[in-house]
Amino acid sequence: MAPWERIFAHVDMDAFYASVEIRDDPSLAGRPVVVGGSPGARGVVSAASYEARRFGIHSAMPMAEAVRRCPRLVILPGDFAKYRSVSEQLMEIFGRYSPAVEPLSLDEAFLDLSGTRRSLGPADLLGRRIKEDIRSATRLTASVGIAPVKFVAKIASDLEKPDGLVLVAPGEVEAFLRPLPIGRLWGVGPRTREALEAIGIRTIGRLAAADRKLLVGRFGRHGEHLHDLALGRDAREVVPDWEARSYSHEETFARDRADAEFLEGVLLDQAHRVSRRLRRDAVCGRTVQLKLRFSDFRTITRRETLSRPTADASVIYRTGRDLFARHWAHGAVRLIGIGVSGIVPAAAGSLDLFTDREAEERRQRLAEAIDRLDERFGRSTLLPAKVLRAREGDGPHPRRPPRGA
Amino acid sequence: MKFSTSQSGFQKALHLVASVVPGKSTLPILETVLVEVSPAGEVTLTATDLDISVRVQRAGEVEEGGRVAVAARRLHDVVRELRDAEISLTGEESGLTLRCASGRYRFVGAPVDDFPGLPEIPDQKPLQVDPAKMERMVRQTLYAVSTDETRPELTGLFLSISDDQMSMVATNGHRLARASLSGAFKQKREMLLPPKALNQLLRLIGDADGPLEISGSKNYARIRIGSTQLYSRLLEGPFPDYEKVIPKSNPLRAVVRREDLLASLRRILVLSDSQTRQVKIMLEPGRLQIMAQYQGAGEAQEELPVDYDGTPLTIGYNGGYLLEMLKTFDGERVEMAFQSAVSAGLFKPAELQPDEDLLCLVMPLRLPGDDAAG
Repeated sequence: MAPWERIFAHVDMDAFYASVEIRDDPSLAGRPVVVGGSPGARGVVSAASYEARRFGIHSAMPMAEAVRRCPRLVILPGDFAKYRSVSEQLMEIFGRYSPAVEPLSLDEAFLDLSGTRRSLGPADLLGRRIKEDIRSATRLTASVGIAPVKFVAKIASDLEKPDGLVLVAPGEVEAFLRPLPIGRLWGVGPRTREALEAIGIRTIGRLAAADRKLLVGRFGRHGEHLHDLALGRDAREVVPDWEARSYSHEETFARDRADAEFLEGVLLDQAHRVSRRLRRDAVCGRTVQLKLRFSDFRTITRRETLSRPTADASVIYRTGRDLFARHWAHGAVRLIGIGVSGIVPAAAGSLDLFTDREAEERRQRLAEAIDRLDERFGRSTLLPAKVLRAREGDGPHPRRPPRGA
Repeated sequence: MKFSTSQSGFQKALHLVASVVPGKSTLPILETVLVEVSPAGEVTLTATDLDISVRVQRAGEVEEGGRVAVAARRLHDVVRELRDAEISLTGEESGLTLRCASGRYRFVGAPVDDFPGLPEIPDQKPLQVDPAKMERMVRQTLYAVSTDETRPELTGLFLSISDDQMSMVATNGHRLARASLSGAFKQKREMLLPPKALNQLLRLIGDADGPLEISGSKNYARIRIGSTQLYSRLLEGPFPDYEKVIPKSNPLRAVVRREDLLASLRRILVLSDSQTRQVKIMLEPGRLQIMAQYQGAGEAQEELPVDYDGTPLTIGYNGGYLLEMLKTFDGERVEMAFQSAVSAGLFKPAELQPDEDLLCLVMPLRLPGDDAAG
């Protein structure tokens, strides 16, 4: 067997939100459970238990559709504070195995185990130990993929879900990838898949065997990249923590909206929320991204890179609003969202001489108070008057009753 | 044109102007030096990159006046290597010929009339400053300018002159340095100078052969040092209202030995985060601790004696800012004054010349785990 030069693990919790709910309420065990927005408010599924998946329900599916598929579906609003605290447990466990952990979401992360293996043991044993640590700390199951190439680890973790452990040894990468459908490759979305299938390429093996020149001719640099992936070549490294993160907020409306004032008001609110989270984590971002989904489900994302990183709500809002003005053709909008990526530590951290500290701190305290209220009562307890007025026709917001004291 | 001059004098003059010549320009004429010779016996060399121009005048033995523009670097590279004491030059628009005992060198000329003219500066009331004092002020402030091109007004050094004071201020928004000089200046003037011009000025001051005079127009400044003149385009302001951010009363005062603090920071910074360069400073009566840690690298801690009797204070700084600042201080001790962990700290040398002042502000870093209000 070829020696391990690099070793990557991808850890992904099984049906994370739903599993946490079932763990904490045993009466849900064995029932189809989803976490997500209510069907009346056009919510979508954020997570589905394996029982619910048997009905063809998957995350991002409109809740109304999920209910159609399974009328006795248990719909839970989700408790993100709880998921976050489980996530912190997970990240703590990952940290025991590697200093280089790249979280992809609350329940999913890449670990670079290249330096760890020598001290902690062989690869398959490492995978078993990570799963065991997670189980004993959280009473939840995870699926783990281990491979000498980062993206292969991700494919591997998905193959034997739930509670899976798939190890791809060096030298076996090509054979492992060969029979898989091309849709499994990172970077192959529905459109690329269609285009590849149109030239008779359905498996990663076929893609690997394809003429590189032809791929480049058809897909440009992306074709070269896909060909490398199919051959199991990928130099991507684990990007620890904050470097990989992005901060975003998006909202699906109860009814499609086409009035600019309302949409801009929502953007303003979202920009403030993103800014607050950036500041809480003492980071800034260089790229602002706007996401729009129209009534026909067509979705566009448009981004703009700033000359210097920011966490400032007004800069994020202005950039997002300009993108909106440029790319919105007055059609009805189903979803709007704003995000910031290209995350770096806050501008060398030193405070600014020329900002009014008192006003800044008043804003900060207000923002934190709003966050606490939101966390207690569900989303969007306090909104700018502009947004509230615009929303008056929408009926009440979906809300949970306050938890505890 | 025909003149002769000493190799060393000509070489020095060429060296001064050649440093302005851009390495590669879209305008070929900018790669040349303009050599002008007056029948009265003055040899003048000029080079410009359109933002900055340097003009140096030297005496020569002139037989015939004239003007010629030739490649600055080539001319300099040859003159620098000559071992002859005297050289003679002849020229017309088509080129310049240099003759000396060892040989003959001909440089092709560029169209003299293409050479950009220097800005017109009204000659009234130039400001006179001791070059040594000017040099110190620039050195004590220039490091603090911003390099962020999105805030161009902070990339410049702000020179402000009033009846009895001249000050230079630089800031990058997180730290600020102000050096002042008292004197009977008897005029009011403000200008925002680009760092490139000031670096050039430091070079020229090193070679100063006389007093320093500053004058200016709306868009340009001219600094004359003896027979050398530096012209610079000014940056557009406005420079921020820095005076209002200088704390009026920072009650927590401490004094440390400058060399100790500087050496300590140099060591501590080795183990600070290479991005934030964060150091933590803890003050308590009689004791100053400096700490840093860098995940994956290690941590460091030192203790210094301090003259302090205020309440204990913990404050985070970009240690790189403190280091750069302290390097420009003279004297044995440093005075520091604080108000809180989230407001500007004030730093100055404890010993200053009676007519000089230096004041630096550095904003703290928020330490992890700080309360929002500090």
